Amino acid sequence: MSRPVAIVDTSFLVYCTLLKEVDLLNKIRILFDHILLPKEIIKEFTPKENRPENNARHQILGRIEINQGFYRHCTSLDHIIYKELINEKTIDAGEAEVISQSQHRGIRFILMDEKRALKNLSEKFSHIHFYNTITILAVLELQGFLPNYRDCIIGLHSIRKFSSKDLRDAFLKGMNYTQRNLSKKELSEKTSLKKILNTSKT
Amino acid sequence: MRPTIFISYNSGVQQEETLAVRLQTIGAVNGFHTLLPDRFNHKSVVDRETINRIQESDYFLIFATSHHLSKIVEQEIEIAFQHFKDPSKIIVLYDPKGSDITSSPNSNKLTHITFNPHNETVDLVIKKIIAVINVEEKSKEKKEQQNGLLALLGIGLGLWALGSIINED
Repeated sequence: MSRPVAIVDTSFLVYCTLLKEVDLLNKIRILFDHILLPKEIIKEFTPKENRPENNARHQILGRIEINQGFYRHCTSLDHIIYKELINEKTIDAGEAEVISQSQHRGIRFILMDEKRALKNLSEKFSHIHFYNTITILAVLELQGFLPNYRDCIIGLHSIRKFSSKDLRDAFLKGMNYTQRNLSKKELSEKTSLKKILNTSKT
Repeated sequence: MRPTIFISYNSGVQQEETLAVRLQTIGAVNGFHTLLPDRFNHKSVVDRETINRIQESDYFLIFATSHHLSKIVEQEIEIAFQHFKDPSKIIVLYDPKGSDITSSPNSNKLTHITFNPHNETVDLVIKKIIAVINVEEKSKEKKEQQNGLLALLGIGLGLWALGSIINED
């Protein structure tokens, strides 16, 4: 199967730069052919000040190219769709650009972490696969690319709270994407947050 | 109650894809439940997820601006017919200059209506649609669903007419 293209939202990029246990923005090269960054997302992600903690963001921004490379600046969108979305109160400018580019270019994967937007947009655009950082970790684990899976889950949980149900939902999405099934027992072991977090304390 | 509408298209036909995603977006942000096929994993057979979406729908729509219904669209129509068991819920709008929908193996399972954006107006086509779908529904819920369908059909036809003008330019 050829690797798909994905469009990324600011929220996903932010969590990727905060997660220290794995270089997720490098690992996703395994899953996607390339990643598109809309103009508004680049604007939102660009730090306002030059502080040392913003170095990770500057590194990503420095890798963005036009029409080549893994991180690509995406400028083409459907203006009818964009205008329709931007007038919707529940959708912000970055999300409107992400969706209108996805619809215009037929891209069916969006990487996004903002919970409210995820719920709202996945209800409206059920043909688009919305993956958050938890789902990406699940997909990488299912494909055997995450040797420190537990550490990654613990690390992500410390910066972005989520429940066992969120983790389970992420694995179910990941199983659908990878066409790999886990037994009930395996699924339970990988998604029991209580067990994972307790292991870290012992 | 607003209807759930499945909007299909022939893959690779830019005008149809653009129209379908525009209509899906306009429907979605205006409170309609509008669904598109999932053709990422399967290009020639209908994906399980697409079957679920068709079975979740109240109507199946396609604006066939191209010369045919592709094999995958024919399969989707077959699935829709098995689900609805009512050709008036499967509406194929097509350009008589290009398409020959009447030769489709599923032609008796769908409602086909012609639209020539160069010499027909949208209101005329809506009248044609009203004439073939059952608008004498008595229940309030069904009536509301039909009104929702007609509203989206009107927008879809408008987008088609607009697309045709832009293509000419």
